[in-house]
Amino acid sequence: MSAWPCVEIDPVVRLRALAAGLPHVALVECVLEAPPEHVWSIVGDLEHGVPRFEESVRSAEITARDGERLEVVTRGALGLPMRFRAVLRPGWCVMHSRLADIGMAVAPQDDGRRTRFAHFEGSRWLGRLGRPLFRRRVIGDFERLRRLL
Amino acid sequence: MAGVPDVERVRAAQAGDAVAMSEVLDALLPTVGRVCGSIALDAGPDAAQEALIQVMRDLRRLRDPERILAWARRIATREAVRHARRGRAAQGDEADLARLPAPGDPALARDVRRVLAALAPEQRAILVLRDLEGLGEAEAARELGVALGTAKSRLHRARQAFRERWSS
Repeated sequence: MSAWPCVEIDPVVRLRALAAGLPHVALVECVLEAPPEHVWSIVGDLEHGVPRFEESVRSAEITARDGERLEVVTRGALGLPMRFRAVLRPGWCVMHSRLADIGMAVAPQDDGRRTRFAHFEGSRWLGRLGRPLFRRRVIGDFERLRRLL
Repeated sequence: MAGVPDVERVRAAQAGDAVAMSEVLDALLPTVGRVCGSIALDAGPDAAQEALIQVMRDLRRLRDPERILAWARRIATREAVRHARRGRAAQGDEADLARLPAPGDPALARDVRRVLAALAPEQRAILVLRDLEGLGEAEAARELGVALGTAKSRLHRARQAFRERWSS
């Protein structure tokens, strides 16, 4: 049966699909001038990497871990804690809390010399109305991430 | 996590839990990848992406969470046939088994792909549902939206064409 053609579905395509089911999130993609492993060494490091480029996260602490499943407490500009459940594995991170969702995924571009990075954020409280705000935020995250590479 | 997603996970995903949605997506990927790859061939990646987007977008409207795999497979089949037809129309390429090179290559996967490429998208779809996904005649007919008799005759012709090209 393995001889039948099968499509490999990369994490960026998966994140596009996931975002389609979350009407309140803004998904933005960019291409970064670094290999996926290097990009993920920052993006996939929730405690030390993410606060360096993610505007809405001043600090993050992993409070529980069971394989790919995590519990994470983040603090934003006002210092208020927000508790997320998350799935984290190489190239893929999805975080869900009562009020907000965050997703990040990478896939190789140009034979792995560059990286396609997809990132979404959204607030359930703001709903669709918040999407323009989060789009601008994510684009700002990309600029900060580029400076770290 | 692959196969049929846990019903509680599906319900959580339907309620908008992004982590549960991620897990449901993981469970559906192998089926969607097989169906779209085998029916749509070169257009498989585009078909798979559109099928997954549709699955996630419409997940809340799925009434029976236990049927999620069959529901996702139906969407993937429909998208795969649509993309395969579009590709065929763009190439002006009708199903023509006589034009197919004989599968003498030792690479089995490449041979299967060549033989499948010679079949019409609808023939690939019935082969995939019956012989790869293991569906019964009635269920395969339902997923393709055709009468049972149509599915039977289409499968017969598809298997015959497959065997002829495979052994030639």
